Amino acid sequence: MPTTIARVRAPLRVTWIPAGLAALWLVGAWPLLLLVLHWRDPEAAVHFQAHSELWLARAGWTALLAALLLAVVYPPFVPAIRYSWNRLLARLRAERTPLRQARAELRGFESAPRHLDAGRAALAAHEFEAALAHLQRSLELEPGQVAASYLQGTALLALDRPREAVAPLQRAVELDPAHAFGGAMLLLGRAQMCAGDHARAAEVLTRHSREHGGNRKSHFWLGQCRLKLGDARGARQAFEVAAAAPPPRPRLTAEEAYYRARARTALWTVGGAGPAGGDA
Amino acid sequence: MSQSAFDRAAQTPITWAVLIFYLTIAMLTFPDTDAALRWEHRLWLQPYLVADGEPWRLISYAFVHGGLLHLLLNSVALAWIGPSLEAELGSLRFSVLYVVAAIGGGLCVGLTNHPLQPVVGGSGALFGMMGAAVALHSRAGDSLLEFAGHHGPRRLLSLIAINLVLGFVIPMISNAGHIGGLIAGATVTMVFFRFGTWHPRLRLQLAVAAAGIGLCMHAVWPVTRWDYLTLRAEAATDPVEQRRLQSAALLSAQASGQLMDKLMFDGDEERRERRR
Repeated sequence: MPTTIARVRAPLRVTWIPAGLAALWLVGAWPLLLLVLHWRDPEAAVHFQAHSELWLARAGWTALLAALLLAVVYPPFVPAIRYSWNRLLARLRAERTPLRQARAELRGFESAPRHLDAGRAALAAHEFEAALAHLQRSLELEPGQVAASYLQGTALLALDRPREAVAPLQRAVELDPAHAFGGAMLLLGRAQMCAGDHARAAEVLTRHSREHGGNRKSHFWLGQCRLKLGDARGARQAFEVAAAAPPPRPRLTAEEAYYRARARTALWTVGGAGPAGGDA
Repeated sequence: MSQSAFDRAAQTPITWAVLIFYLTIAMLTFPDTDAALRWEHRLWLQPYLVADGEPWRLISYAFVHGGLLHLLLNSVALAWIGPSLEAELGSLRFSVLYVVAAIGGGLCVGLTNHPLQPVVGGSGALFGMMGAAVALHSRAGDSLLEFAGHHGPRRLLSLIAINLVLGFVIPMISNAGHIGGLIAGATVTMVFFRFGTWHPRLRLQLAVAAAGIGLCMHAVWPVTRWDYLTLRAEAATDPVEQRRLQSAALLSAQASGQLMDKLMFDGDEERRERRR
């Protein structure tokens, strides 16, 4: 689960909450604006309203056409929408009871495992700052915990702090390379990559592929690291693995479909034909 | 010992007060007399009257009904959902919910309907109650969407959907009022009411309040709508100001495709008499 939560640059990253709040403030300010215009010149206010409606309608149609065009010419567009939608649903379905229970238990008695449980529950509820606080406390009480280090790195990555995430994830991998079925190693590679250390990231992601089989996401990231290091051939190989045609069953998950599409697009610039077959 | 009907009613006084108000207003407006017609005209919602300095109509319309069937349907719906919702929210919050939902429905009517189209009925506020019930289910669940997995809330959502579809299909029904009430009721319950450990964020509350105030301003002073501009032109004493406002009113009527309505509005002597 943490590997799907932790991401640094989400597809179609639109900051929905500030955009939504800004839209609400605009709705509130609009009549005031019209009122001020009206006091100066009533006709100008009517013109302004009519033109605004016209331009809004045009913008809407243009956005719709642009979306249709993108859907046709840019493979990751539709999978990105599916991926973002799934993550939004996951966020809306994030359970709050485990965090409440974990916090209630902490009120009675503080311990490293209880802070770890609270941190895990806070991560699941997408409360990353709170998760970080609990996990840090858990590590203070009992240093050297693999799970707490891994989750701490996950929370830091989710908060867009990859440089800080490297150390705890490194610790987790050193203590248990197979932790979370290779999830710790994968996130370490990602954190190093986002922190700008592409060489180390490529090493870790290659090791992940060797020891845990890799997946489309890890191969895509490996391809990106190799591109940054100037290894076009290595990058192409990695992208080709990520872009490989999916089996007929089961259907690719939203995440797999997204990274497959991105790998296919990356192959256009790196060179070398991608494998045939549509996105799932 | 089981409670009597009066004891149960006393626990949810606002619901029954609204119901009694429905009946009282119905007795004033249903008879086929001039006095009843005047009462109805005084209370119904016509967007141009709100713009003409009668903002109370944004609430008063929610207590007027267009006929016995309309009154019966809304009264039954109120009796069905009101008591349990009031018991859950408390009488004060329930009152706030009813008023806000009625205003929300009225604002949506004002923004989307023809300025001269009258609207009556408590169903905007009732939709607000249904929206509030959905919001309560959402907040009470283990996650925001958990309620959708349960039979009861799903039936409520189906009921809302069916009523909205009926509103689109039957021309006499003002779906704008329903939708406005639904959104207002759900929003006020989700964003402003505090329950247990739920603390809505202040920045969200401020943003929603700003949007609500803005919409109310637009309903009361629709400065780009031809009816408001025409009324201001009629009230203006300066001839230059009058011409500017009339010109703006014509422009607005043309832009909204309601030029004929504006010309008829201009020629309505009865309306001018009532204003004087």
